Amino acid sequence: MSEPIIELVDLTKKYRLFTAVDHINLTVRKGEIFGFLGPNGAGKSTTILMMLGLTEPTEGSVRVCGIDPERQPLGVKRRVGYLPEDVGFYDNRDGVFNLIYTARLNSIPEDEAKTRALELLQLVGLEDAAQKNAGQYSRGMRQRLGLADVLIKNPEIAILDEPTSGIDPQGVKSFLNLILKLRDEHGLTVLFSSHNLHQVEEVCDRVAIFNSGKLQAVGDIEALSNQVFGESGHNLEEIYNCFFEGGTEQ
Amino acid sequence: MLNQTKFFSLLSTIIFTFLSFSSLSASTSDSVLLYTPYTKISVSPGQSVEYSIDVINNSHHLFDGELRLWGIPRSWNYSLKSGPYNINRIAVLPNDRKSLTLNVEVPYQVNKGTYAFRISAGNSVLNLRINVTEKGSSETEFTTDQLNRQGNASSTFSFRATLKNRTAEKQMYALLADVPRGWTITFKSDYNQVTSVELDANTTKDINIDIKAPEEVEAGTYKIPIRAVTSSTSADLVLEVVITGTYQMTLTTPTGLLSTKVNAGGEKKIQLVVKNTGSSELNDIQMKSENPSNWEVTFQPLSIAKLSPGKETTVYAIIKADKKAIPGDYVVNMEAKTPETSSTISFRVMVQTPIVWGLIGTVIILAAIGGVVYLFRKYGRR
Amino acid sequence: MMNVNITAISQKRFNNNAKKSPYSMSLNRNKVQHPFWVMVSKEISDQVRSWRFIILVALIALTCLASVYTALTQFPKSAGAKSSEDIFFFLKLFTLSDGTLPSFTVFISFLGPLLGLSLGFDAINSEMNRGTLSRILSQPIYRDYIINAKFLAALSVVSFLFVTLGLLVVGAGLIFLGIPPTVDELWRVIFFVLLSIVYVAFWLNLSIFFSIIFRQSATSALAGIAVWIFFSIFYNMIIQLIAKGIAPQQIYSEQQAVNFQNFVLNLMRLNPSQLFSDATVTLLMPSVRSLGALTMAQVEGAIPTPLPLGQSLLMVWPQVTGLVAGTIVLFAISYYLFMRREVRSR
Repeated sequence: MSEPIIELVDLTKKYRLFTAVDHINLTVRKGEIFGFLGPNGAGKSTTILMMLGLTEPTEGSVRVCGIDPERQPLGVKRRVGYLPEDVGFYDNRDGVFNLIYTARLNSIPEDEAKTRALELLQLVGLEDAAQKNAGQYSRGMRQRLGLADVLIKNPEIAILDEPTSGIDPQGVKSFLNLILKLRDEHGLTVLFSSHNLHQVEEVCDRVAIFNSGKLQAVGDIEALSNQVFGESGHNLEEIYNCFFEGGTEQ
Repeated sequence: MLNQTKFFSLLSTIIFTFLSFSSLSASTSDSVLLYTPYTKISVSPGQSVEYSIDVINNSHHLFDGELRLWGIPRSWNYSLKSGPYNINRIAVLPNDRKSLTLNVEVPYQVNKGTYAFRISAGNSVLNLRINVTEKGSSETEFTTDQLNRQGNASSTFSFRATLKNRTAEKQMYALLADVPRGWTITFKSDYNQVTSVELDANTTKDINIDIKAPEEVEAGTYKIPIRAVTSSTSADLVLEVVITGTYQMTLTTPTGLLSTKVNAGGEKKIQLVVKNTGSSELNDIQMKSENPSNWEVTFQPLSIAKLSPGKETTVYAIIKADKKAIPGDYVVNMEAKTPETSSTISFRVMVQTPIVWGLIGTVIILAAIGGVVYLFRKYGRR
Repeated sequence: MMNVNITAISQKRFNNNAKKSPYSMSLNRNKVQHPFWVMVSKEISDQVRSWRFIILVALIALTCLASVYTALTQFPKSAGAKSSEDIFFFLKLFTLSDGTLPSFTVFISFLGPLLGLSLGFDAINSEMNRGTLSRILSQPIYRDYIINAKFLAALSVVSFLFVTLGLLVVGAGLIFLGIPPTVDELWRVIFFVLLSIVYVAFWLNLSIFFSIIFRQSATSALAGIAVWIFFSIFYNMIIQLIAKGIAPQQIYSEQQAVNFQNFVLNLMRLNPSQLFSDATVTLLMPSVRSLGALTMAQVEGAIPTPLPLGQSLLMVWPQVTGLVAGTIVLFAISYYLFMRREVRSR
């Protein structure tokens, strides 16, 4: 639990007119389920993209599994599974193909990829839709297929960007259970970005609260509660509301 | 008829009277007279002359005397006959006359001139003269009116000769010639090619002789002896052929290849060989060219002062193509020329686009690829 | 419902191929194919499965074979005239037309762009719109694999198509003419096929370019078709107008006339299809010795013989250079834009 797996130092991303990510310092430890909280445009997704090496930081440095994603993007991408917000698949291909394709991009031999894909489809409850074209999947099915897509490469870290949107509450519950299970049994580190405070509170060991590109607070709920209210016992929603006077975003 | 007889008798009387006087003067006091009407006869060699000689006895005695001939050249044949007999002596009754026939054969081989001889019977003498109008010849004559012909090595020398058989017999002549090696000679009689001709006695025949020299014969005068031979007689004729030199040359390349490639606007040096293939020396050979406009062809050297027969010399032609010439084949004609002869070659020149443009194009493509490679380097490892 | 049982997922780390040269293709089925070739084969299969490709291939194949058929029917008529071109009997299959149906080359120059456009107009924007781009990019591949694979896949499809068409024509020629092509002719056909591929690649890159700058596939397709129509219909008209406008009032010399003609021709050559037809005419008709207007002086002394292959190639080298360089430059621009593009989820 103590070994840092993601380290962000003074991470900054500036676009022409505004600063999307502003000097963020953050460490995620191995085996943690880490929550990214914040409204849209707070800089969560940009930070994630910089962690994957998909966007270059303007300043600062990123270390994921000890690797600089800017220098060795493949090393990072091999170890990190990323589920983008509102994930898309090749609509004219079935679920199995999409999974096998991802597996083969990860240099998994075709036979093994097929077995794994079928296993994972079963795991996320899509075994009946395996032969269906991805274009016919509902949003929730896509998210679940996305999770399978993340897992098929057998990652050390899973970065999930709004993974639960569009999934029914029952599905969310098993989704979150699955995440916990993966962490517990395989030591998977999960980066969980969401604006659903309850879900975050339920599974995350620690959270980081983003606002306007700045990191407002980092820590477990208790630490944050102490930090904000000077006492423990407050829940995440109360903490969150302190940062964003006004309503929470549900 | 009657009148005619009368006229003749008159004529004979007159002639008789006249001749009597002349005979009288010749044989002064004698009463026996030798008479013949034609005392000087012109003949050509080989002819025979027949005299009819009358022996007239004007005396009242019987004349009996020896007949003699003086002065006939020894090689001449003659005979004195009366009727079928050879006569040596004759007797004539008083106031009577007898006829004799003197046959003199003038041989072929005789000098021109007047030959005088006499015939005598007793004291009477008759002077006769035979005028040989031309020089006599051998028995066969082979002559031509033009012994000499001139021409170049490739021409045919035609002679017209006349063969004369002056023998008394029919002759079969073999026609022979002594020509240098490589020459050909043909005899023609009545348009047929022959090696022998048959001539009756005392006839002539025209023989056409064609002589051809080999192409490579050297210039000069050649004597060609010709003979017409039989077993008994022969005749010679020496023809003279004057070969003037031939003027021939060839213009080629050492390899025989008559095409080349040149870049548009570029130059090409081509080796040419001028060879004198004739038999005469060629002087002042000029090199000329006929080329597409805006092309330049220069020769090094531009002219050859002297080239002996069989010799060759090298000339370089520098072909400079038009800058704007389009790719593909052009024709350039080149000529070596003297006043006497010339030789032309058509040279096929293939114009090529300078490879430079191809290289520039390749460089552009490579630059574009280089740009992509730069982009790959800069962004590819993301 | 979600039976959490992932023990089946093997935990061993997969032997990655990082040590191997990045693009080396492994054909052995038991071995792991390099991700790049996985992408290329996926893109090829996408192209081949798509209806638009099938329709276009059918269109091109039918028209081209029809034109070859008419060329074949023309052969008995044209065979009588013996000329230097007759040495290149076989090449006429590609260029001969009976007047009702354009020749093979004309069809390629007209429909080739459409093929190129159809293969690339949604290359990048569809990935973005489907939300697959960021997902694929998070896999252990370099970002340029996507555009490279798309381009290479489309190019191989086009190459395969044109090589097949070329072989069909050669085969038909062999069957119906009974005369094998000479080595020279064969090379000319090969260069023609290569040139056609480059020509289509030009339009392919143009459409990939549009697929990067336009988010909507329809916009991108329309932009491509607009350029295509502009070049195949309007461009020549515009050049004619310009030529009329700037034509000298009086022509004083032959040289002036020729210069003007060549100037207009060079304007025409800004059109890729003009470059293509220039190049194909020269390659397939060896007797063509110049593509511009000529002065009398240039023609004098020239004898009508076919050009050797090398010279034909050198003559069209500027055109080929233009096409190839244009294709590469378009690709480079597309590549640059794609690599600089911010990756966002849908």
